[in-house]
Amino acid sequence: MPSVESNASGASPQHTSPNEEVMKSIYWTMLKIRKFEERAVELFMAQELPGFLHSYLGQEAVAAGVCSCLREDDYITSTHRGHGHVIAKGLRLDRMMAELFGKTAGYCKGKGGSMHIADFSIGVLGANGIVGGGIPIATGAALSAKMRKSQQVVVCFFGDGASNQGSFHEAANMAAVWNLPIVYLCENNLYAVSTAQERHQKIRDISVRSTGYGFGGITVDGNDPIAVHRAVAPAVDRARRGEGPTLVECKTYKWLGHYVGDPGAYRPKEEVTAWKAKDPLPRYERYLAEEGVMSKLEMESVQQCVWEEVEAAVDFARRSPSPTPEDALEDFEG
Amino acid sequence: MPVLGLTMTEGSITRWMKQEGDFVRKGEALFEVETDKALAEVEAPEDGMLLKILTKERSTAQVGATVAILGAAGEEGAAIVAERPQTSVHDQQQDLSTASKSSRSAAAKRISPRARRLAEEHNVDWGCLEGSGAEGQITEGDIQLRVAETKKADAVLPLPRIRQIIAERLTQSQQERAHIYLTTTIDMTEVTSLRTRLMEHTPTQGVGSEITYNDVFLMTLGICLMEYPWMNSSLTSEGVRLHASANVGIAVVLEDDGLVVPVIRDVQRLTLKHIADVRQALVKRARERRLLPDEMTGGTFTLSNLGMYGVEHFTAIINPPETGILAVGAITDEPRVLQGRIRIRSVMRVTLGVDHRVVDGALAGRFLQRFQALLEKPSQLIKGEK
Amino acid sequence: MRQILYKEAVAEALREEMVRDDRVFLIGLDIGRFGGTYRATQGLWEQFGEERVRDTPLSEAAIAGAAVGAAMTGLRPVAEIMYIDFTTIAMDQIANQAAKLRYMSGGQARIPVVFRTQEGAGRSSAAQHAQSLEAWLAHVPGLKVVLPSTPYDVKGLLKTAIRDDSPVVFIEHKLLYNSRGEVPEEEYLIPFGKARVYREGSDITVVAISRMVLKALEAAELLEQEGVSIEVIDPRTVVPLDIDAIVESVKKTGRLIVTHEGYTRCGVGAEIATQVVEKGLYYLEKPIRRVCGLNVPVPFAPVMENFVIPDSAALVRAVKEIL
Repeated sequence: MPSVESNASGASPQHTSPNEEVMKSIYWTMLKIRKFEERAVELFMAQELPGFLHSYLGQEAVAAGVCSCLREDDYITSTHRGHGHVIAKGLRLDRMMAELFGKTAGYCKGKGGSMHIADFSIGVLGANGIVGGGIPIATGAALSAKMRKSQQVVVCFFGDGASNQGSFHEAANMAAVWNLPIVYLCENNLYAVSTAQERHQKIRDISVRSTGYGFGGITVDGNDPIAVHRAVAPAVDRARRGEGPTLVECKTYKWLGHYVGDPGAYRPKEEVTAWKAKDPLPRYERYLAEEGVMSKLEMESVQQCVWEEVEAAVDFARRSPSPTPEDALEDFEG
Repeated sequence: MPVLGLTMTEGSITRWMKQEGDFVRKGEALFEVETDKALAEVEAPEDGMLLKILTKERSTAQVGATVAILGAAGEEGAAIVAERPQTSVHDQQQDLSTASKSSRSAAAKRISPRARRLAEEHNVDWGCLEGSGAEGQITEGDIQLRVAETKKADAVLPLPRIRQIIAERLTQSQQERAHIYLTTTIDMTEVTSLRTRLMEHTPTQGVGSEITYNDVFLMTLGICLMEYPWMNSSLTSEGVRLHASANVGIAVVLEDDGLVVPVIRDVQRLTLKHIADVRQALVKRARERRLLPDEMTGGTFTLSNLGMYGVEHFTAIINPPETGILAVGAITDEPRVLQGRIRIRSVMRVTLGVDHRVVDGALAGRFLQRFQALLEKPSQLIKGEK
Repeated sequence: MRQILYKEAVAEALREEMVRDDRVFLIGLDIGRFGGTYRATQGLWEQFGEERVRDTPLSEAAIAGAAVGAAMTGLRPVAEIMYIDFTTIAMDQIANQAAKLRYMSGGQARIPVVFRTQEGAGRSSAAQHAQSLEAWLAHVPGLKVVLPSTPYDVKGLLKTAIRDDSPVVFIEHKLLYNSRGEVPEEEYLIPFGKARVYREGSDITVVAISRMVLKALEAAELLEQEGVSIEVIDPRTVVPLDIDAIVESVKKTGRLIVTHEGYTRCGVGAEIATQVVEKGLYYLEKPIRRVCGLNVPVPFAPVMENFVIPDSAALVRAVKEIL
């Protein structure tokens, strides 16, 4: 019987912090996500990108922190707001950007777009356009890992909105009864589209729901990547040891509206301002500097590299060939 | 060249109503086309000047080909010819369907797609068919029936050799000769009763043939032809050959179509009974198609009798190289005036056909008169009998 | 040749494929210890154990989704949805995920999942347990839709479905489970997209789906006595559809009836009829007739259920209308 950890906010005291290498890599990841998203938003507003964009700006610490706990062959399932997740898991910025542009060089050959980015070779089982749609799939991947005895773990990202989907309930219950190697990672950014959390569920801490299924849950500050790491790492270990699922709730906030272009008038301005003031990136930079992990110079050089990488990605994407109309029929049987 | 019928592939322009340089209004008749079915007028599709006529009168053009250029005044007609593409087959098919659509709309007939396909395959014009399906819809069965019927009517049989020969000879005769025809009505009452009497006798005289009217006519002809040798002649390059004997051919209709004329030689020398025997034997062999060539040649005159079909009167075509032919009709009872009284008599019309190149009307008339006289007083005929 | 039941043929197919390939496993409600509501998975739990014959909580979305996830990551699941009526609960996973993930990922994902379910009326199971919803699944590009009507077909097609690398919706019929038929001992597979002419005929083509195949054959017997000869074709797979075989038959007969239990409106019959018109209009002598479920929920009382679901008498009437 796995030990049930109740919803405590804050890090689990038993686990150690990540080492310096991991901490630096977390920083890289957060920056990549931040720069990529900023650039994507710009391009989208300039109408270079078709479709929708659901920006991850503001939530970088969650993805970076979570994925710093994972092996390359571990799986993640992502959401419509998934750029952060997949970058953190290791997707290349150029091929991601190409996918946003709808080019054949993109990860999905232009067939999926922002909401369906995937790279199966590194365990990214796809972002999903259906809210809660990836949760049963993640559970199935965990079942498969268990049946194959592969020691792989699945992290299933989803939001506060998805936590109300029947699919979450069904999948979590099934994972519990079969002891599946999965971490249900709830990014609670306080809004499901335009509906504030207090209007869409009675509870405040989503992690309490884990008790309903018979496994442990924990709530952490999602804007603190180290806290996230310290909550997720033990959950991943438990899963890998065959001790079943954990629900980890990361409290965070998205800066832009539901989609790029949504003014987000449903959110009080003060709220937005207050959260932006708690921008996880400068906060982490300060932490890194204080802990002596990275100097300001080092950070600036990382920033420069990341910026260049992002620009190169944009360039790559722009120069990539567009698909032909008939490409629509490729990779498809009937 | 427009499509003016489902099966039209080309049309011949019979007449241009307008000339190059003429201004035409939309709807005005431009030219006339002859198709395999009829003459049709083609109207100008728009206002314009007839710049160039490409297909002249009495020339043919394929359906869809450009036959003329209609344009704005001043445009170079010749230059436009180079530009205008020929109507594609696809367009032709379009025209076909619009043409057929318009010709159908008048009929407003319904037809199943399957039946329609079958109709088009077999070139059946279904617009005029009565459908046996619901609400008069034309069915596959209707088309199949039509196809079968059409096949019947259109059966093409090769002309048998015998018919070919007959055809050639008749045509030849018609072309060579100046046929004139003389008709007279002969009172056959005496001959009829004579024949009856002869028939009563015949069986007791042993094996022999029944004496028919034809035999009587043959005998009579034998006498007449001797008396009027020019009637028993042939016109040759050297002159008129007057034949020594009267070899009278008698037209025999064969069962499976065809006509053969066996010849009874030296009729003038034969008794009525002989004539009957010979005639019967020949006709039998004719019907069996076993006539010898000798029996079919050398005729000098021909007798043709359609009386058994009730034919009153007809004209026959002279059998070359003869000069005359006698066409005999049915014997019927009619009221005749005899010595100021109306009597019922048996009468028969005969029509003598003669070649006017050789014989003129008067001679022919006298011949006919003699023939008539002999038959009306037949006792003279049996003078030679017994 | 031996005769076995349709449900036995299902179990045989599953057993043989599970023996052949370790990656094949079953997941669904009551399929393990209970042997399946219709006993189609009888004996498999005993043979293969809990790991590979997994009874699940009552969660169609999770069942279907877990199957998708497992299929994406190296296994070959056969997920059972107990009644096709319950696919509604699993529809996102079937139609939005399974059917589309390969495409949306630009060909990266391979999803060799089989969704096994059953449909059909005739047992007074009423509106929510008697539907035939193959049209819903056939409408989604990315799903193959299979409807076997005999033990022979069900075994051969199920094996093909399991070996197929793309998602297959495999629809059995509740009233066919106890039907008997000849099934060879030796292994055989039936390819998708190949219709079967169950009975040759010359007057009318009848395309029948699932249990209607049997009713069509009954109708054929009745009609034969009146000198009418109908050709009964079972497409066996609605996607991919063997339209060529159907058009070939219509070329011969000129008349088509399509029959299925599913509602007439927008049923697969509509698709088949339209394809026949598109490809063979000029072979048609009469309008196409659909003898299908009426556009009304399936009622409970047998007399009413038999009214809304077509039977051989309805087929005979339809045949006579377009003869």
